[in-house]
Amino acid sequence: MKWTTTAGAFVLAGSILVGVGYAAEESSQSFQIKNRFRVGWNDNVYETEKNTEESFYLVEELEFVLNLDLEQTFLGARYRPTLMLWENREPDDSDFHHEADLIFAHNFTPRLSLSLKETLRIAELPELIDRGVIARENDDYLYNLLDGVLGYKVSDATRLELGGRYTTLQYDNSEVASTDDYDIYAAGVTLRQQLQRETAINVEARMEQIEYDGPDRGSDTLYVGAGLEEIFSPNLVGSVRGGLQRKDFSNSDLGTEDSPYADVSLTYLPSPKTRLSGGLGYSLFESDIFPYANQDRTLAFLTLAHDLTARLQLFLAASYQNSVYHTDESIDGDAASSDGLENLADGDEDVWQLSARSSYKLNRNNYLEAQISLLTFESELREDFDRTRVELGWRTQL
Amino acid sequence: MKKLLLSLVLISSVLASTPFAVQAAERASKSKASVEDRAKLVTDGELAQWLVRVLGLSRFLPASPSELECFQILMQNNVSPADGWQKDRTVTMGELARVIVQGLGRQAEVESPDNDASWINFLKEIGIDFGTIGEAVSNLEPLPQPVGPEAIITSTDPLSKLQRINPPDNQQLGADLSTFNRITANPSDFVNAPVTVETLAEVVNQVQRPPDRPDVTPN
Repeated sequence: MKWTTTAGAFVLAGSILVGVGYAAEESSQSFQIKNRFRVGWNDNVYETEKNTEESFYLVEELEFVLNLDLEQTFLGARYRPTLMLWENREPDDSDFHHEADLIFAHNFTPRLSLSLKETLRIAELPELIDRGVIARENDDYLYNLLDGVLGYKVSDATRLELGGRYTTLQYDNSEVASTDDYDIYAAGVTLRQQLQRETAINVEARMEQIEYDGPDRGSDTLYVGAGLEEIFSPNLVGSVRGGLQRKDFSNSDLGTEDSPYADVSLTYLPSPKTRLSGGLGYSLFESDIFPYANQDRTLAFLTLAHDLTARLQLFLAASYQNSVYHTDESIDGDAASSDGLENLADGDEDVWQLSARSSYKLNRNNYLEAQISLLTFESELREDFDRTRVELGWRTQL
Repeated sequence: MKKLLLSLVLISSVLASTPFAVQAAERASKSKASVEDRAKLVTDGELAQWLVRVLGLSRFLPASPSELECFQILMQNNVSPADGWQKDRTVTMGELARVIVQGLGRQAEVESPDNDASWINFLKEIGIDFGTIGEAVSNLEPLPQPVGPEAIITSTDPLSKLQRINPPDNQQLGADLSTFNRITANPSDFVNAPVTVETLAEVVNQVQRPPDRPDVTPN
């Protein structure tokens, strides 16, 4: 995987530079190079419940950002390679990750627009060996997501959108890939209506198809729902969506699952120096665990950003995720039996995360930062663990 | 491996060729926009869409974000008019000056924040003189520390939910909060794992022994 990702990095960086060079000649544009360097400490490198190992680490993140803003067209490109070096992590003491984002938006006419968004992630996460046992397979992966939306403004108050999305996840390790690689296709239509200056509603229909490699955990899901967006006051805005989803599993033994889905999002500015955001969502979701074909997932988060002074900012974030797995939504038969999974059980997983980060602005281009993040993982299906990370860093804009 | 390489080549081709396509599309459709439409006054909603792109916030949002989604992320990044965002309100020069200064991250330097004229004067003092929204926005760059819902998002929409997998250390509205995706995919990894001597010793030591040796009754 190392040579693949390194080669990929050069190709990606070359692509960005070609775009930058062209843009510099032909258009008004902005191009930034940012760097974020951190020294950190992780108290549970292998994410195990017992016999935890701690390690110091270095993180070097370079970020290239290009914005090309024309009269009717916008192009944004971003590439961020990240190198991590670990003081005490065997057998692999380095990771090299790549993130690339591309955003393209074009207005064909004042009424008709097209938006495309490309998200690429390539990451190396090495094999975890705990007490001589492979606790996690070598799960280097490539994740790619391509979004497209064609929007048409029917009238000043009404907008129609057609959207499509393709997601693929491909692991490098053939054993992991054989059960966990997937492709997700989604398409849908949204009709938005502005009711009043502060209120907009929408109705939506979506189709989603999930295809896993290996034993068939795939499904076709139909969503039908509605949403409301509201500006409650100058300091408070929020949205709510909800509806019904019908998940038809590809494996005929699993049948069909009907469920409501909903999400809420709020942003509140109690003062010019403070920003609060929160959200809550519930839906059927693709499974993280083989051989389960589905999870009932609940997610919630709350964040606070506060400007302590003109130079010093504080950020706090907390999140909670609950996943429920049912045996009647898992594949069975030969595939599961051959993996020794005859005695599957229903189970819950809870993930709690808490993070605090402070950032001090030295000058317009340089920031110092410190952060601590805590994670607690509790599972009835996998090994529990807690993890604490502490970091000091320097962020600069070149 | 072939799939990986193929994906990389395809994606890179898209990245490399897009700027050329942008110019071509721009030339093709520019003539279609009527003078009347281009002279139309700009609303808060349109300004917010513009700012989200220029300030580098688009990557936190769906491909075609709603106006409210743009308002939300701008508020999270401390960019907001004095009396909040309102979808259909026409943008005034005072309001524009305020959000431009906020986009530059220099709001703390404005002497009288309650007075719109102070924001306009501040821009003039730092050499930004503008007559149109386009001129004003062209002075902006991507934020040095953009914040957005990168690690956790609660949207259930299959067309806009956040990517579930990220390398470690993505932020959630400014605080580092990695996406959780611990890929011990198979529960049997632990059920069927061979027991080492060390593990066995730990388990055996936890077993409680009877306090006394049982009496032996002779037959």
